[in-house]
Amino acid sequence: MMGFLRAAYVVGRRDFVASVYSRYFIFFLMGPLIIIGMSILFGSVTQKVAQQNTRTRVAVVLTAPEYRAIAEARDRLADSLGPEELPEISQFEPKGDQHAQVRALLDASDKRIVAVLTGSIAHPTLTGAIEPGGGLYRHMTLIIDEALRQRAIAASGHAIPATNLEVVSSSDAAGAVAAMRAVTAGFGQLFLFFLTVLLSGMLLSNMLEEKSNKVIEVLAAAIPVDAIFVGKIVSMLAISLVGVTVWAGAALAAASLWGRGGGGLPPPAVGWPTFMILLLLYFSVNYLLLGALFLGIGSQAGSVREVQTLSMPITVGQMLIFAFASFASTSFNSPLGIAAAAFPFSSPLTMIARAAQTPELWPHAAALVWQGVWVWLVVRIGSSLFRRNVLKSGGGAAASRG
Amino acid sequence: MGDNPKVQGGYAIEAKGLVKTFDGKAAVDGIDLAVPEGSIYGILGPNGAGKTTLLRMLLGIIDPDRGERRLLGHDRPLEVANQVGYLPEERGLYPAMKTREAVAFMGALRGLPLRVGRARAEELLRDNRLGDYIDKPIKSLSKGMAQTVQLLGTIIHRPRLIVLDEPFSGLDAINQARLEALIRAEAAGGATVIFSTHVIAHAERVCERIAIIAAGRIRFDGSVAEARERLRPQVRLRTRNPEGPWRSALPAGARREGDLWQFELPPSGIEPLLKALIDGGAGIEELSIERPGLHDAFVAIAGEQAAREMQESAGMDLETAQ
Repeated sequence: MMGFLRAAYVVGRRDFVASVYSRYFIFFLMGPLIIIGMSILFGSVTQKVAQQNTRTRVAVVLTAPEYRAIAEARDRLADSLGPEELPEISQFEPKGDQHAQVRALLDASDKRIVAVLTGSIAHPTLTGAIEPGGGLYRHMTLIIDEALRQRAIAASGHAIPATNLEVVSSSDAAGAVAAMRAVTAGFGQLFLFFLTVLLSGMLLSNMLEEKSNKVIEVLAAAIPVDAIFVGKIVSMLAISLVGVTVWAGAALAAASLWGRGGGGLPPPAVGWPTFMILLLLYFSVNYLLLGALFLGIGSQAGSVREVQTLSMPITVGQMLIFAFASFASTSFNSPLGIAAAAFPFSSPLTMIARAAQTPELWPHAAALVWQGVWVWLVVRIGSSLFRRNVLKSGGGAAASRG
Repeated sequence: MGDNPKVQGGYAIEAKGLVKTFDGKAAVDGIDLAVPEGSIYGILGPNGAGKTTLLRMLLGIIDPDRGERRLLGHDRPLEVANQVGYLPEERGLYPAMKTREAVAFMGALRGLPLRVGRARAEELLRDNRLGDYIDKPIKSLSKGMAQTVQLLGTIIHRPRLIVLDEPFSGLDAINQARLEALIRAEAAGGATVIFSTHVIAHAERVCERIAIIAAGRIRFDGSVAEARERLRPQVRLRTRNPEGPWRSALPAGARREGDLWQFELPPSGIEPLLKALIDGGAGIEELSIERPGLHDAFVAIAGEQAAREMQESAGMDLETAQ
């Protein structure tokens, strides 16, 4: 066993040093940060542009007092519903030919007007791209109703007292806790999924280096193929953890710089420290599992093109597994939930969601052992296939001529 | 093969009835082999004869379909991998790795601690005129240099058994001579060296024992001298008188090319023949007895076609090296 571990260490160390001391490693580290930064930058800009371009605008062709009543009614409703929910309004003084004015407003492409309100508050007419009963119809009805109500209240001389709703906060209501923890569970799953997809794909092409450099036969003659596989997977996990550490550090630095802590997520059932440890463990096991699978599949490939061809079905498979685990995370003790926890490739995703929602720890110990067994099995199958199909005469990288 | 590993003074490699089939075709077809400890053993055969497959099976890189093998007394070759050095036919090194690290890495694969390996690698590289390249990446070396680096990686851990698959392939004449010297030096130091080649001259110069392999089977296993002894010495005779009673003294298989006769030395020796030629008035102008070379023995053992394939492969190698 010591010989096996030593052999895996020699291979893993070589891979780790070759990757981390490569000038390209900085791109690996910077890649996600650049992508996230660009996404945030362009996302906020495009969101603003999109909001400006897509908000519904209604031209209000009423006298100034009537427009003011409409505008006040809209502002009052916007306090409760949010300003984005209601259409924007702009005032236009009524002119002689009202029909022509409406037509001109609707045809003016620079004003982006969807509908025109004419007549009066008491007898309003809405002309434009609207459907009776549709969103714009309902919102405009609500605004005009509010304006009428305010006018009636003002005419009566009575003021309606403001509602004083007393609030007693209680965050441990079962429904609220479950809903909050479901958010953390979803975050945990998403985090595991993306991180694993982002990082484990590298293992698909990992054996290509040895095959194209023809080093594989030197390795296979000296140490067990299992040890080569384990060394490679563990070294790639270590490289990934270096990346995760750098990215997490950058995220924490950014959060402290902009004064926004990570306290936005509801606390998981097992508590944050345990949850973070489990997240790290499940990431590691998930990475090792998928890594072993990818390494086994990728080791059969003879060229970069074959690896690229393999990537698509593998990514689709991962997404299906993610969907399966997400679906099962709402009911852990149902047959579906148990199946998702037992199926090795969805097990880490399912179990991290469980950690967010239920406090028991023993299922995690059992799951980690179970997943570890599968890592070993997949490594054995992958290395066995590799020895059978690649290291033979008449084909493959190590083809014999003698 | 006995159950007790007893290698000292015995065999470094033993194989019995090894068979390996790929896609229904036997690459190795029932090979028996015994390589004495401390010997330099050559496996001769044309490309496609099954040499590489045989070596891979002996080393445990692939498993035989049938048969048994023992390496340094062990049934599982990887158990003694730390005592074995292997240079595969397909040379392979990591291009970005520094030369010293590459040699030390190969030692580390065979159980040599990296620190010791680095020191020893430096020493070996300097001894082999690669001192200026110790901290250079492999990709900056010439092909011959890279091959030397890999060879040094094969012996850095001082193995008891060194297995070289076509080690002379792709080397120029100077490096081939260096490699021959290195093989002899390792054997003198007590290591067993087994190498495959399709160049008969290397085997003839270096090997104590050889196996001739063709179409997955061993056709001969023994010393170079024994291989030669398979053929009778050749006699070349030129006479002044083309005809005469001396003609009846020539063996039945004698061939004539102009005034030159060639035939195998008769079992009775040269003296009775010489007497008959003189008495018969042949007028001997030239008489020589030549021992057959390993090439002649190879032709006789493996056949004309195998010999032709060997020569073609050797020609291709020469072009590659140039």
